[in-house]
Amino acid sequence: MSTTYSRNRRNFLRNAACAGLAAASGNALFSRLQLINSALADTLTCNAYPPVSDYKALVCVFLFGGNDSFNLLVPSDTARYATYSTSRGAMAIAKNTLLPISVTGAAPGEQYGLHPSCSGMASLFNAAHGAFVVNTGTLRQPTSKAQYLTPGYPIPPQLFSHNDQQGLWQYGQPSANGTVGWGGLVADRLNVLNAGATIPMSISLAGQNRFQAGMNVQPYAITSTGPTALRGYSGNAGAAQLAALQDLVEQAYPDPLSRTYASTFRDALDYNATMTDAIDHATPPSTTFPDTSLGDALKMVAQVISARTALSAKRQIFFVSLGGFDTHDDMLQDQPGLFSTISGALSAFYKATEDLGLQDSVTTFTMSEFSRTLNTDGDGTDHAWAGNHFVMGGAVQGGKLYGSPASSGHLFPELTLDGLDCLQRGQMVPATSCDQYSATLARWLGVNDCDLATIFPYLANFPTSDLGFMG
Amino acid sequence: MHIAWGFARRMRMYTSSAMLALAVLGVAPAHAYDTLYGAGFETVVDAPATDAAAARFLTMASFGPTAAEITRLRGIGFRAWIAQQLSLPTTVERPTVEQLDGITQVQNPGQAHRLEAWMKATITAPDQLRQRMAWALSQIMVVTFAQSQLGGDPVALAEYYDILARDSAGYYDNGGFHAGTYSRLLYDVTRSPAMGKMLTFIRNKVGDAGLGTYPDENYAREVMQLFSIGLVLRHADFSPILDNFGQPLSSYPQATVSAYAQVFTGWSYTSGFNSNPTRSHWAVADYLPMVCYDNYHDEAHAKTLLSYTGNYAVGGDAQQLPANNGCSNDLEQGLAIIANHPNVAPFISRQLIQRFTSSNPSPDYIARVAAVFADNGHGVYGDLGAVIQAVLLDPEAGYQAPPPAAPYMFGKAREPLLKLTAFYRYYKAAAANGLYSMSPTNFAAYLQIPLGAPSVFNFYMPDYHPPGEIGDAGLYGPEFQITNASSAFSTANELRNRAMAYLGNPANTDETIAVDLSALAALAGNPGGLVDALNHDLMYGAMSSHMRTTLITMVSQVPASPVYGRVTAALQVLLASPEFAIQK
Repeated sequence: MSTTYSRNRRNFLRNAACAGLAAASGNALFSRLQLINSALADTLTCNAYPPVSDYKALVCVFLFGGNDSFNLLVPSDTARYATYSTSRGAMAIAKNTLLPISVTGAAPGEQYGLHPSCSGMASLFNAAHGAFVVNTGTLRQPTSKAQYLTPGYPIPPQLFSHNDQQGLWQYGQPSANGTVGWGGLVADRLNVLNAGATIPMSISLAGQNRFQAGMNVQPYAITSTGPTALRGYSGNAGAAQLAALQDLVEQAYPDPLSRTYASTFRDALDYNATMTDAIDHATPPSTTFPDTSLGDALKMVAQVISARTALSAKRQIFFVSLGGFDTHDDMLQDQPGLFSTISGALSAFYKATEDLGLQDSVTTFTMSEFSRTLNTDGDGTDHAWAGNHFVMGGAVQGGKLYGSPASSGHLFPELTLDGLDCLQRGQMVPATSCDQYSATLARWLGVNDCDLATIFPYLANFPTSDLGFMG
Repeated sequence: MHIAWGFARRMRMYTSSAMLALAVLGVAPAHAYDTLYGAGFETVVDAPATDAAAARFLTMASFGPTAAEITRLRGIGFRAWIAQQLSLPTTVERPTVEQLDGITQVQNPGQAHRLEAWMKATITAPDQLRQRMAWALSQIMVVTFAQSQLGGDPVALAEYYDILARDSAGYYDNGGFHAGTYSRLLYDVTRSPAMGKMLTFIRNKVGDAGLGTYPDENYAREVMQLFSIGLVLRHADFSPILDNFGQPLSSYPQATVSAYAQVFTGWSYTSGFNSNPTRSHWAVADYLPMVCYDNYHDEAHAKTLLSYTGNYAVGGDAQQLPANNGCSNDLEQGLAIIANHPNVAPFISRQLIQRFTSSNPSPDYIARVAAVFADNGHGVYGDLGAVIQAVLLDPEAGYQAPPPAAPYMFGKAREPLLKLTAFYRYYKAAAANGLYSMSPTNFAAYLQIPLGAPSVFNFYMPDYHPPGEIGDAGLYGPEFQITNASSAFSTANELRNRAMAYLGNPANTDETIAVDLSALAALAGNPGGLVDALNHDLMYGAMSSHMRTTLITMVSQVPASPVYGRVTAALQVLLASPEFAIQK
């Protein structure tokens, strides 16, 4: 079965399914067509994307649970460390254990250190392969602490709620319960650059996620050991069974539920052989990865990248994740393991991109729904708002901190509890929107300004759509 | 309605201790599901006319139909079946797991042993509806061994599941009857050490101004957001209540979360505030309800809690608990304020509908169930038995009922793990050693490990919009959140392995959970008959003619001997098929 044949047949069947839907359910179809039309209108208004010869990939590392990133990046000069220590109380990391980093362009007297478990990230930062975007979170428009406290001032929906804030980071806009994410909307536009590709440009190592859900391009979910194969279709009956199964998943079913399941199964059948072949015939980087779930996932990302030519992939977007950051309890016990897992996996992954000669072509970045209260609930911290995020890659203008100044006037916010930049328990008010952060990454991947404005509809509320960390 | 209720005479039993316990909770006493059945002269008015109608109902109301249950249901009718189910004693798991600790070969039982007990109860327990309720509730009030050191605590987790099963329909304890109400459930869940660990309020202490500490907000937030009220105010049909600008009204501000964090201070194991009974060998304190230690409780603050109208302004109608109210009073009264919030009926009703019957119920369906939640007809609020009856017997869920007006639609994706239980139940799955050994890895192939979700947000969320036409239409498909190109295959592979373990396969061992496919094997020479039997057994007669033809054509191409070749070939494809994946 040739892949091309399969794809064409699928598209035909999908159109047929749409026609069936039109007959079945007018209202649902109407809203679907409206959405498709508006998406088409967007792409028609903006310039088309000419072919590219180079390769670029974005790798999103989502830290689920709300990473306490004010223990990851710590101000270590005497004055500000004292404030940090007072605000964090028992949660403070001892000053003499912090790993010093050298921050290009830091204000006179400002010093910073990383959590002692982050030696890999410290090396990447000091080698200018990594940068921090500080005090960043979900916003509708620039918001000072005083404005936040003013009734009626527009703020994002459901601050402090895990699933809502995870959504806001992934949607590309501060809206309630969206269907699509900015990674998926980027893939909708850039998929045209992967001419001849039969695998979507979005690959997930963490199953379904809102970040990669597009209008047209949906992620292909694989595992850390590669694509999952369908077993049991060999031997005497195998060919007849596979033919029957393919027939069943290619039927035009009368209801959306059956169609949705069938389409997922068809994707799996369509993509599996191509991806397996491509990975099997590629030469993966020889880099040693740490034996962690994140290490395993990023190792597979590197393997897929090594197979990019066979996949006809010029642009790719990957999604990996790590959980366990909801440290209400036992934070001091758990944080070293969490941070060393991130740091170890990221530095191995950077090394792997070097081994592939692609360090300038792959940019890795963290997302997390929120950071946590500076002060403690006894042996952990609670949900808060803005946090610090790490961006890594040869194309990153590394060794620096990025973002907009906080209300205090400083780029790195003032950590005094209930001070200028945070609320009573040390919930930091973001000075930079996560949409500015995301748009900077999407622009690097190749999205034009016209499309950025539709993918990130609130971007225009902020002074810049480019934070500068990608040059 | 009264005719249907009339055939079973009800005996109400109250005891003083039950009354007292309920009074403490601020809950009106409920009727006991202690139904005595008459001598069989009642007229059955609601019996399903066909096996198909019965099997379809049992697909929703149990872990899967069996031949015996189809016959029973057809004999007694839907209401009597539900009433009998709810009156059955609870099949529990904790004692099974706990006793393993005394057996030399086991000691320190783990999650695999708890899952063994889960699978046994799920496949064999007579109280199927109660067990299915526990399974649904375990996906709403989530504890998971993936977090908070619960991985080493299978006994507490088993007890947690037993709480959900008991409170689903009430239970007898020390001679008293505890009604199965939502209020009781919320109270028991809150006092469970498993939940205390899961959402980190076990050993939660009053804030200390000197140390700059505050009470942990974790449980305070999630008990309201996920277990009861939700983030925005709702009408009885679950539609959001909007402000003057068309925006949904928030149910509560951060200040309410902080105040509830103060309510949930002071609770820990019966063995001492700072004790840890989990270590090494199990002490009963590991699963007994937590008790309060007054000196760790926040007594100093009056606590401003929920406003049912969302009016939190100064002079608004937020309910308050006074300072120095006492630890237990704070918990009981604070939980009662949550449990009686008008959001709870639609919020919980809608999720139960999603777990049992339909991902996208019409607002009218939700409102009808929520009305029963608010009052079961006897003045009882939150009667979970009455609620689940309303979910299952709603006209929208009826056999061959007309579909609800678009965009709502009836039906749901089967939960991946419930594909296996349906298969196991109909074909009498059992192992020679009497156990149901299935490792967490095997469960992981379905992305559903009982009490093993990735986080408090369950395996999937009730508001998940699947990408594509369902999400584009603003509709939901929770189960699709765990249906992707990888899991579709891992589930199909696992089901295929289970089908290969037919009774009589020489590869089976003592612990192989074997399925009895002999009735199907007898049809191997008759492909049409074989496929029709599968349609009857697994798809409540709903298989399309196209699928039937496709399977018959395929079976005919498989050698007729050995006979199990055709049976397993057909099962393998059916269990992976789109039509089996959806129940409607």
